[in-house]
Order: sequence, then structure tokens, then C-alpha cells
Amino acid sequence: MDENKQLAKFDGSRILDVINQSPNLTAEDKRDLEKQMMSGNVEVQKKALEMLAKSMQAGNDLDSTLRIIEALDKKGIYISEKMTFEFGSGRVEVQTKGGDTKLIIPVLVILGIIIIAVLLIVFWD
Amino acid sequence: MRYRYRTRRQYRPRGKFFFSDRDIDFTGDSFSYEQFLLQEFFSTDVDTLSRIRDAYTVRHGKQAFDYLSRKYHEWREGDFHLTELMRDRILALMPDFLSPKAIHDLGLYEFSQAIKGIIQKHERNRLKLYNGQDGSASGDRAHFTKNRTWRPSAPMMLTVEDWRDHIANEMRAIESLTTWPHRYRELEAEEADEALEIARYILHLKLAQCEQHVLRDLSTMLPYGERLHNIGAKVRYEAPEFGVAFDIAKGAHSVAMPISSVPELVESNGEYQVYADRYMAYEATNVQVVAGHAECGAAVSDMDLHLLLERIAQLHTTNRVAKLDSSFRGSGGILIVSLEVIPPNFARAQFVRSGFKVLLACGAFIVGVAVLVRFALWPILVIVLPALFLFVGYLQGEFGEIRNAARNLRKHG
Repeated sequence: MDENKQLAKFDGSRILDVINQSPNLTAEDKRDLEKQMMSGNVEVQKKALEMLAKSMQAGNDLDSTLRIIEALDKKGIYISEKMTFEFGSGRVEVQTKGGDTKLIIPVLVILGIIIIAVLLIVFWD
Repeated sequence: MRYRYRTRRQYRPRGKFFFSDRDIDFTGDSFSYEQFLLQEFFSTDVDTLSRIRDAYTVRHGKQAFDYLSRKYHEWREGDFHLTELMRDRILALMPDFLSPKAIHDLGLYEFSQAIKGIIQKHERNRLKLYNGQDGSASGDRAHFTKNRTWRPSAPMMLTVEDWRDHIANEMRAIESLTTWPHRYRELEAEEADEALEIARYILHLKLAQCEQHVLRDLSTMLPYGERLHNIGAKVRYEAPEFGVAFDIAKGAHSVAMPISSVPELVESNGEYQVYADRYMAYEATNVQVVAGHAECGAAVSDMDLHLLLERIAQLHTTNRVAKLDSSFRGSGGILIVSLEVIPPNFARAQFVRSGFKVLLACGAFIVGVAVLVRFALWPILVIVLPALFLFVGYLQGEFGEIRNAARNLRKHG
């Protein structure tokens, strides 16, 4: 190795040059390395397809879940749920709660009235 | 003497040892020095054997040598077991009688171990520094928790300038590596330097690859990060290999050009150049294959983020509170997105509900006390009175919720 080495920006294609230009690699080594590269590429393609399929599936699941939630919202049903969607490159956790918010306040008002009524009954004298 | 052998025996595997000739891989990790020396002893030429005889006779006497020469062929063929005493004597003697080829092979072992050792030690040190268990170094940011379990500390938040310094530090760390200590045979200074240069080359290659992956992630994820930030999401990119993170939601990071570089390969005519070239070619191929996998992940994360943004827009149209936590793996790190969607009417309802809950709780408590007073149930009142403390605790929690609701109302209302 030379002490006054030249520095160059990294370029992935240089790896192939390193392999091809190396005088000390046997034909068998080169074949083996090419095989490794090719099988690596095949694995990457396979992995990409799997990940894409997973992403599409998760996207569809998320879509249909949102549609169901929307439908429940329209019916005024209060629901709370937690869902996890596995995408190709990661995961999304969604926690939603909601529905008819108008229902809660009247319930609380009625409870308030009941309390006042109890007080009046107890202290009417 | 007898005592020494007895104590040694405790550490040796039990059972009789029969010598057998084996293929020795001098570049692998399973190299056995003892097996190598025994093989050298049993395959040595006549001249060397006569020199061994002289040395053996001087050290252990003629009678001992006669025993050795009598049993030599039986041991070599594996027909008779080799005692520990004899094995130790042969092992102690052989390093001085190695053939030139054996010395070369041992050098190859040292050379390959030097390259691998330097790379592995450096990678282990960086891992420890960012995520690991050895907290002795001053720069180590990981720490022990109270129950003595190891927790890496939160990644260091960086700007682009910090990032460039970080990479420059990594490059300096590689350049500051020193030669590897020998185990069985000292390498020539040139050979040790050559091993060091190859290790540096591989480490530079890996660093450059990692840096490119992180920068690629940033350039892909930055537009999404800014859009997500605009709709109120917290977006952070973490690069665990470097123990750093970027708050890309703030949009403060324009993507920097890579600064790490790989030394040019310069041909050398060293004794182990064939091995060196082979090693580098295999390592470089491995780096390339790993890079392919990482880039595949990056491409998919791009699509996933696009899908997520569309769904978040959909979440905003529903009349629901939605909390979203997600993480996407890019080529060099992980993008973490967290978002809370609270519709305006829900924020108002949350505020009103919290207020009513406090009023109701106060009312219920007053009614309870009033009933007890009205009917003069003093003993029960005395018993119930400590519940006042619980009630105060409950009210504190509720007031916290009101504050939270008020904040949400200001933000989303």
C-alpha cells in the first residue's frame, strides 16, 4: 500500500472494477464473486417484491379500516380502538376514539341535575 | 514438575489424544496452533528431524528421546495415544524448527488475523460507543439504569454541520488505527502496515456506504418530513449506526454532500498480496450486496411514506381523535413519525367534558357529605373524612386533564 494514497469519492460501481481488475483473483474466485453478486441481486428483488406486497396490503387494510370508522361516525356510535399496520418498510400504529361527541354532554348534564335534585330533597326543610 | 502437569490437566479435555492429519485453514477463525505444530513435527524432513533429535536429547535426555523415536511412527499414524507430557515437549520444541513454508503459512494466519482483528475491534468499539455496554470510554454515551440493565442513551441530535464533523471524526478514528499485535509469529513491519492499510480500506468503504445511505434517506425523507411537520407531526430520523438523529420536521437540514472517501487501491507485491486481494474482493462484494438490500428498503419506505401521507389526510376528515405512531426503515436509518389528530369539535367536547366531570365530582362529594350531616351520621363521616385526600388527588388529575384539553382546544380548535 502506498503511503501517499489518493482519496476518491466512493462509487459502488468501483467494487466491480476492483474484482475485475484484480490480477490475483482466480477465475473460480471471480465466478464465485459474480455468483454472490447475482444471488444478492435476486434476493434484493425478491425482498423488494415482498415488501411492496406488504405495503399494498397494509395500505388497503388502513383504507378499509378508515371507511368502517367513517361509517360508524355517521351512525353516531362511540368507539375506541388501536390497530397496527405492517408496511414493507415499517409499521404504523393508529389509536382512534370518537363517534357521537354530542351524547356525552347531555349525559353529564342529566347527572348534574340528579345531584341538584338530591340536594334539594335532602335540605328542603 | 509433577505438580505443574497435574494442575494443567484440569484445564485439558479428558480422554486420550490420538494425532491425526487435518486440513488447516490459515485464514479461518478455527486455526489450532497446537494441531499445526504437531502436524509440522510429524511431517518434517529427515534433516530437521535430526536437528530436533539433538535439541530433544539436550533438553530431556537420551532415554526420553529413545522413547520418542520408538513411538514416533505409532503416534504419527494415530495408532497410539500421545501423552500430555510428550505433546507439551513437542509443542515447546517445534517453533524453533518450522520449515519456510510453515513460517509463511503462520505469517498468512497472522496477516489475515491482523486485518480481521483491526476491522472487528474498530466496529466493536464504535458499536460500544453508540449502543454498547462498555461505559469506560469518556465519549461513551450509553449508561446503566438504576437496576443495572444497560440502556443506550438517546441519539445525539445533529445539524448538517454536526453531521459533517461526525463523519470527519469517524474518518479520523479509522486513520488513527494501529497495527495488530502478533500471536505466534511477528510480521515484518511492511506486512503489518499492509494489513493495516487493507483494514482501513475496508472500513473506509463501509463508512462511505453508511454515509451515502444516511444522506440518501435524508434526501428522500426530507420532503415528507416537511409536509408531515406542516400538519403537526413530530418527525425524527435516527441513524443508529452513528448514534445520531435529525429533527427533519423542522426542515432545517438541507442534504449535505458526502465527505467520506475511500483510499485508492495501490498494488503491492507483498508476500500475502494474493490473500489480500481475495479478502478485499469478497469484503467489497459483501458490502455491495448489503447496500443492495438497504437501497431496496429505502425505495419501499419512499412509497410507504407517500401512502401514509394520503391516509393522514383522510384521518383529518373524520370526526375522531387519532394518535399515530409509525416508524419506517430507510437504507441507513429509521424515520419516526408521531402525530395526534384532534378534530375541533372533539377538542371543545373534551374541554367541556373535563369541566363537567370536575363539577360532577365536586357535586357528588358535597351531596354525600350533606346527606351525612343532614341525618347526623357522624361516625360514618369520621370514617369517610380521610377520603377527602383521595378526592383532592382525583381533582388534581382532573385539572391536569382540563389543562390538556385547553391546550388541545387552542391547538386544534
